[in-house]
Amino acid sequence: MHASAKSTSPDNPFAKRKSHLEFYELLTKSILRGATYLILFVTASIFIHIFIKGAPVIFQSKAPFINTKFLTELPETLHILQDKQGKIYETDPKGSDIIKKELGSNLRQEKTMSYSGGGILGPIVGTVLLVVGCMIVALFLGISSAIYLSEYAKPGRFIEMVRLAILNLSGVPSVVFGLFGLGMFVLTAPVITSVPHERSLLVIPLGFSNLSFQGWDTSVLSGAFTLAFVILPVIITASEECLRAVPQGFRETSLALGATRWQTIWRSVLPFAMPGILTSSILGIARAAGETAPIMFTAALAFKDKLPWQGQSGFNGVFTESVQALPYHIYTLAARIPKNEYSERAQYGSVFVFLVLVMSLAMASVLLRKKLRAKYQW
Amino acid sequence: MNDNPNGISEDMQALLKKPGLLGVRVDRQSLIKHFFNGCAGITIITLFLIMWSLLRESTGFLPTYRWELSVYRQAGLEYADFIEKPLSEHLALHSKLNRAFNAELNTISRESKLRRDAAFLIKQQIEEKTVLQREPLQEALDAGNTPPEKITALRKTLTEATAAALGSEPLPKLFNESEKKSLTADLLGLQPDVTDMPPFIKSLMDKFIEQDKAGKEKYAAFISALDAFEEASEPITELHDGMKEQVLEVKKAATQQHMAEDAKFKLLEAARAAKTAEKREGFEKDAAQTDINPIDYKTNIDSLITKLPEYESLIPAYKDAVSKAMEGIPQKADTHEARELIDQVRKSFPKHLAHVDESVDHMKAWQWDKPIPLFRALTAFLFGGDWITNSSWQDFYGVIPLFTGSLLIAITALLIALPFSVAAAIYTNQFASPREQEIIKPFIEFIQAIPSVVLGFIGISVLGDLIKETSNIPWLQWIPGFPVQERLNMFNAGLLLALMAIPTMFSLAEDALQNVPRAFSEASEALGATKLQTVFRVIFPASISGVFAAMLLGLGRIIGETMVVLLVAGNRIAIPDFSDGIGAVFQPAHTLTGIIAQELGEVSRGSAHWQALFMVGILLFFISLLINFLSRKVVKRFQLPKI
Amino acid sequence: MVTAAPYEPKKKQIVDHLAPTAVDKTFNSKATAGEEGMISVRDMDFNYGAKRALHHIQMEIPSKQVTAFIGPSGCGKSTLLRCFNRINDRIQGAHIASGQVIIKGKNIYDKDVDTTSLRRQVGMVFQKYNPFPKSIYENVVYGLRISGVKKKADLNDACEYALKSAALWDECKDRLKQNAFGLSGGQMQRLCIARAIAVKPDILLMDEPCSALDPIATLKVEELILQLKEQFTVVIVTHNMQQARRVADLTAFMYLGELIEFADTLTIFSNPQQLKTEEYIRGQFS
Repeated sequence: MHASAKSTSPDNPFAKRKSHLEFYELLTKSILRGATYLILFVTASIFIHIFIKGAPVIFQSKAPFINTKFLTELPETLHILQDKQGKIYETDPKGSDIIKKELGSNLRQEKTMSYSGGGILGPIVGTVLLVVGCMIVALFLGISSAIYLSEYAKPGRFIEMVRLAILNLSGVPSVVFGLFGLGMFVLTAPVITSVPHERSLLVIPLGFSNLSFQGWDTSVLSGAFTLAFVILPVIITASEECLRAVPQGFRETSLALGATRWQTIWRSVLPFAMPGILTSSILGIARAAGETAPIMFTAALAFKDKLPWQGQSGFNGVFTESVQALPYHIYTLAARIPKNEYSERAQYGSVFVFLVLVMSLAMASVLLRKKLRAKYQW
Repeated sequence: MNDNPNGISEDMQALLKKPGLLGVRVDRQSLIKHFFNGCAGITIITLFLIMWSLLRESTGFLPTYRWELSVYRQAGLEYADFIEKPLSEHLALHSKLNRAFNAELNTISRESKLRRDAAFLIKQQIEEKTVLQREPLQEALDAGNTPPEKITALRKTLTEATAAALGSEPLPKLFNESEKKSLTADLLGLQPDVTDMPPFIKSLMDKFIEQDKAGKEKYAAFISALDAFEEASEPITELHDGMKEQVLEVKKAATQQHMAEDAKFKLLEAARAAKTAEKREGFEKDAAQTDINPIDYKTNIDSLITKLPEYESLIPAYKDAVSKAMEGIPQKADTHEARELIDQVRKSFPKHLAHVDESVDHMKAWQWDKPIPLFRALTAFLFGGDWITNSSWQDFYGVIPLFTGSLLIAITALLIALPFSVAAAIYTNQFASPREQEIIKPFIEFIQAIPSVVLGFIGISVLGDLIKETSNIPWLQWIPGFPVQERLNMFNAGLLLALMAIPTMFSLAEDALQNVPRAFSEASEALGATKLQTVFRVIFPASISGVFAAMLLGLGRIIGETMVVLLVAGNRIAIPDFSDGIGAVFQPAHTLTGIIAQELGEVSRGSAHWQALFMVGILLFFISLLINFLSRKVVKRFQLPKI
Repeated sequence: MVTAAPYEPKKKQIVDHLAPTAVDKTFNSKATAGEEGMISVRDMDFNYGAKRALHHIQMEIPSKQVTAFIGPSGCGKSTLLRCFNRINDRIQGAHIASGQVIIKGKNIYDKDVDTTSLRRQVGMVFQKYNPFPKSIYENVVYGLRISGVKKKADLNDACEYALKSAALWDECKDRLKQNAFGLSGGQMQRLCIARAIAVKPDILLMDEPCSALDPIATLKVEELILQLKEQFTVVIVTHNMQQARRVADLTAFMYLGELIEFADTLTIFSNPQQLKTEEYIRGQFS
């Protein structure tokens, strides 16, 4: 833009008027920007804090660089022994006995910290089982319901009511879902058993056995179903939206070519909606993985010294045993154990692992969405 | 998926569809349709089951609670509580006066007390650090036959260790240089076999004792007034304790009888369901053996009521005594704190006396056999000011303390989250460059994925101490509620919940801004409005409904959150004390969600407590429905006209 | 000057019941040719990103006249109009590549030009009426409020003046506090015109102001435009050749981002100098 002789003339009809406006403009903008960046800063500092305190528990400077003990052992009580020379031994209950014998009268004192020793394999396994179970149930029910609502259901009062119900349920506190899971899955859900429990609500004889509405007890199954119902409204809504985003023309073209309803859905609608459905579902599952309240009464235990398949029922234990779960483990560590240098390691270590787990799920969904957005556009 | 659907669909379609439809020819297509129909059906039915299961577990609550309340009345606990009320008031007044007295006393002895405590603390720290050297010396001395040179050597190591420890531990600033020197000398001289306090620390102790004595002499009148005030209630307390013992006996009997009745009912029930006559007879026999002694409430109440004249006769003496004691309280206290406390007591004192008289009226008007209607149990639940469980006296299930806790935390969180999320939404949507947007949006959405238990953990491990330390900064003392007493409090929880609510509110507010038609901003700018004017005069007002809805949904998220409040809110079941205004947010509290999570694991199924917790769940369910409903209403009400 | 007989009666008919001055001030483009107009565009190129939208535009738009831009869709007539108040700046990548636009003796693309100050003096009415979701009154005084006028009396005067100028006063003087969205489409567009003239700009840009209106509302707006040129320099983009013929003193025909022909309306419609113009006016393409 080259200025001509004319435009450099001193009287500029469009000159900036002198006023406070500009100052206020700048001030307000800075305030808005400051508020925005403060949010980012606080969040970032939480992440960094957890990383700084938690990473040293997981990583080490020597090969294999990862503290495998912490990731592959079950939680146990930490014993801290001190001999008279001031040397400190950290060990598990068994090791404590051995060291005590060795030290003999040289033992000065022994302290114990519940749950702070060993690793967090139990909670990790429990969380994975719960999340996988929740994923299967929620995706199956959620996507099927969405297909029904968007492709088959005829618009009407009933469907509107159903939508409204789903919408409302997405706002229901997760602890209420926990109560529901307790009442529904833990205490009422049907099982096939030859010996019905006395609290059973209803026993239907099947001939070879009984169908007894006595619940699944606190178990992986109860927890997974409860979690699934927590995120079901989200998944249904998101999936339906993705299905609706597929242009009507795709369906019409397919039907016009003589395809059946199902063929149309299977070949012309689902392939285009699926990526979107999956990404939003992953985000939902990340949320489920982070939930604590729904599994408190339905699946989780504060302490368990066996993995689910090591119990009496063998492999079935994967479904029927109660488990430790990372979020509940963190709750236990945070709420029930005094904070000191020994418990802090277990606390921050668990929080770090948990955060990495949940965040990588969320991150995967965000990245996937970005990628797919570029790929599927119409 | 292309295969024939499995058997479930058959069952489910029966639930969903009108029966006539089942008869229609079942080809592949309609089977597929019915399959999906069925899946949606399962979902929908199960969603409705939520309400059912909540109701089922809590249905017994109202009758059970009514029964408990009626025992509370019939056994006379209610009667005894009429006296309890003025007594607890008396206690509260006395504790306030006591605090005032201590504030006064502090003016004289505070300094020396602080110095003494500081010296004790440093001594303790040094001793802890040198324990490894101290213990062998102690052992050697105890043994008695250790050679003296070894003991000397051990003593030397201990002194060296003490010196080293002193080097790393700075001495408190309360002492001046020469005092620090004598303190160091004291500490260096610490030996396990010297039990006397070292001279300097001893002098500090003496100084405190002396000053404390001087203070007590100075305020002798205050002390005697205080004692008189405390003693005034003794006869009434004695009477009250007697009554309590008596009524608790009755209550115990009533509970036992209730359990027996229950057992009998169950036995009879079993007898009815029994398949063989033999079994039935067995059950019936057991039932007959369960003896039920009817409780004679009347006699008990009659003897209880005879206590009333005694109570009445004690009142004038009590009133006299406390009034006289009040006169002995100094008119003009020396410290501000004491003056304020005494003023408070003076103000509420006449009310207290009136309450004492009222208690007699209440007792006279009380009828032990007045029935408690069912809806009274409901109002006692919804508007009851006490949530007391596992009590040796009487359990109360009133949600008001929990509700106020939840509400206060939510308001705190909302007041923090709303300006931040709206500001961030405006900035991101209107001012940020595309590249900034690409960073800010996913980042804030990411906050949503942080599990709440992790935030709660941060609150316990970092934020609590941070708040407490901040509240001790001298130039921040003008903030109400500072310095903060408890690390875990409502404000702490509110801060974390604000962070949790920000992503929800940010995204919705940003959507609302995005949905404002471009035409508005174009028109505004064509009129010569600056960006800021356009944003605040046109765009933001046009998006206000969306912002409102965002706020409401954020509120829903905050009220329903469990883990953060359970870990961080402090879990004290009490209605916050608003006497220091907004500062109340720095008190600990319990919440509707937190109480469920904390107590449900510890109660037996079907007890009144269990049912009460499910009732709290229903209450939460309805609150969330209400919030959802309101947010939809708001969006509809303020919908932008389409242009 | 009026020579194109077939169109005259109609024009006269409209003009007759308007202010008598409108007839007297018939414009002769030649009289001002070469002289400085209200807006002068000097060899301007305009780009959307890398794509050139306008080529070498050169024109002088005279003061207190109605100038119409016509041409097929996508010819750049709206872009050109939107250059005059730099509202194009809102669009990412839109910029002037070379040349100048001089208004009141100042190149508005100079660095020391404040766009808000410019836009206060160059008003604009958009294709689709776009009142704010506020009351009629608040809509009209919006421009004054943002420029800092606070006195109630001033605002009321300005509101009355603007609504009267926009021939809307009688229709809505009793409902000033009602939401603007209660008006009809034509009324809303006139409200937008009132809003633009309430700040008393020198120039009024109109981007197809009637395209969203029905014929009766269109007629009213056209009458209004003829009144407005007494006070303002009006530049109007229109898709409708009849409209240009009815309201404009001067007409510019644009095609593919170039200014093909610019002359007084009667010349353009009766005796176009360029083949393209003639084809377009005959309706051979659009």
